[in-house]
Amino acid sequence: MAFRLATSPLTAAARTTPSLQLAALRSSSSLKGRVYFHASRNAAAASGQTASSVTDAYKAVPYKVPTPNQVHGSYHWDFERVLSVSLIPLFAASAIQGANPITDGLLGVVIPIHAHMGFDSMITDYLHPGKAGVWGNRACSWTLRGATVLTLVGCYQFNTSDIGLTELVMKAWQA
Amino acid sequence: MVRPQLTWYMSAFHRFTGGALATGFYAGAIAYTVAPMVGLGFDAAAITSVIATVPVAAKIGAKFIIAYPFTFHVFNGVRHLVWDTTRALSLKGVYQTGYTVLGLSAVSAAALALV
Repeated sequence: MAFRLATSPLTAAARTTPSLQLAALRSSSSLKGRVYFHASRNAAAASGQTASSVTDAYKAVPYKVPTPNQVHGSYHWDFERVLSVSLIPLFAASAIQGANPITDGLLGVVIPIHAHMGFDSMITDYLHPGKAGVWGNRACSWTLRGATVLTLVGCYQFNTSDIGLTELVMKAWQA
Repeated sequence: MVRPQLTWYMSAFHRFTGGALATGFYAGAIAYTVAPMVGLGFDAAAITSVIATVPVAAKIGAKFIIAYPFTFHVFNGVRHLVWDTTRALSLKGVYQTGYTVLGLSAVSAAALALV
């Protein structure tokens, strides 16, 4: 099927006719003026625009490959699953027995760290250095760390000097 | 736009609900930490008294809107953990567990909203 498409008269015309190529270049969806569909890149090359600022979707960022470290690799994955699994009995205990200092204390630590790891994955996926710049990526990571620290402090203070997380949810739900 | 399919729709919704729930949790906790410094009264008693003033129908609607992302994220999270044990990784398994999660999360969210 790909062979038929490659040799059909319509795509052959699109590949060779300069006016059709330039039309594809102008109309193709692009990020900040950069194009990355092959027909458009051929047209760009044909019209002399070979600069990486035109052909590359993301800015190239000089990147030193870090030495492999299990702390950031498989141990990180294990830790994330351990936290997720532990949340199930924690929520069950919280729902069944209500307020309890141990359950609330654990929830106030496990939920923020679980959320932090989720947010960190989103920063890695959507705000990586190629997209947000090296300093943008670092700013986001450090902002997240600061927010998580504040959240942990807030949960601790709420659990010790106020009614506790489980009791808050029960009271707010029945209010 | 790629064709809508249960696989990536549920995956995207899992991330979206996780982000929304975590943002709410962070906002509440940080507001509680920062409130005394800014002079804003924000503690359990203040929260419950504000909620008590909301009409009943709006409360049930709001409870469903808050409960559904939570129940979906919990059940879909269990589905992810099942996959991590290398079970249900076939197309059939993915779709069967997917529909189960959708059903369970809707029913449990409705139950929680009416509690």
